[in-house]
Amino acid sequence: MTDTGVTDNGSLEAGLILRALGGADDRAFGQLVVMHQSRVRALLRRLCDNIHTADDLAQDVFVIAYQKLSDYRGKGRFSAWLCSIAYRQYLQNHRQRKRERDVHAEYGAWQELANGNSTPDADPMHIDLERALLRLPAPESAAITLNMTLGYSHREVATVMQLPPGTVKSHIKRGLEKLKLQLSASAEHNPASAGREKPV
Amino acid sequence: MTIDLESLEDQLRQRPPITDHGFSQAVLRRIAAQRRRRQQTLLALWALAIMAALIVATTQFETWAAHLQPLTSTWATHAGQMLSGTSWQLGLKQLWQPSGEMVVTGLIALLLTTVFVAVWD
Repeated sequence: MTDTGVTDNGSLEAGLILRALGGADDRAFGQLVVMHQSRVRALLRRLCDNIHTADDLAQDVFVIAYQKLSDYRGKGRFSAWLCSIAYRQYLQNHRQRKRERDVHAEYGAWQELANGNSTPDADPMHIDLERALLRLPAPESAAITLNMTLGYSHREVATVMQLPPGTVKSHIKRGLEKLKLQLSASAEHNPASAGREKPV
Repeated sequence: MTIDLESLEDQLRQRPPITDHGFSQAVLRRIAAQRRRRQQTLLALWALAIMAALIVATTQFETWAAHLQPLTSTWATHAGQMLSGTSWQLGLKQLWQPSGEMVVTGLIALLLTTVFVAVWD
């Protein structure tokens, strides 16, 4: 992960936050955006069924973060704080317009993924996985993405999602089971892609 | 055909990095546009408030002066007493009485400007 190494450099990050506080230095905030955009966008792309919506939401997240930067007290990772804003933004957006799950939307999402907008290699297994993740309920998809893809601990995921750690673990377990079932069913329908599912 | 959990977890851990491709610039542009809009709104509100205060002040000068007369007289008396005995024998009473309304107008303008500056950025 390209941004992890930079994120771990806490002093650089803290310096940038201090410089950006109160709108004093927009370039410092720009650097923070560059450092963390990949994580935030990855999370939102997993939750939204349209990458343009996801990226719009990601922009909103950084605008809100800029406005509320003084609320970040340095407890926990800055990227986790951004992810918590992202998750709340997603939920708010989700409440406003129900998730589009009809065939056309699904086809559109598949097309975008197949065109390489989200995954450069457009691996069929990856597309299946992304589609399967979109079918999961938001808390399960978010918990899996935050924990397994973005590498946050259960405790951090619990803070981001404002849920007890036990609930987060249940979401991950249930979500993984559902993913397994969905991908197994998909592999039965499409044995050609199943051959690439398990590279040995 | 079943998928084993281990390969599923491996797949989930793979995260192709998302390149910035102007994303951060777009965010900064949105922040700048939002700030500009906010400042324009504030400037317009401040100008309207000052204009309203001046209009009200000019039409209500006499009424305010009448209301403020006892108060400003008291201030002037107190100030005169405090300063008596010093070499500053200023005509405070004469200074305060006609300028009561100006003081109020000035205070309103100062208050509006302070609020404006505080919320500017």
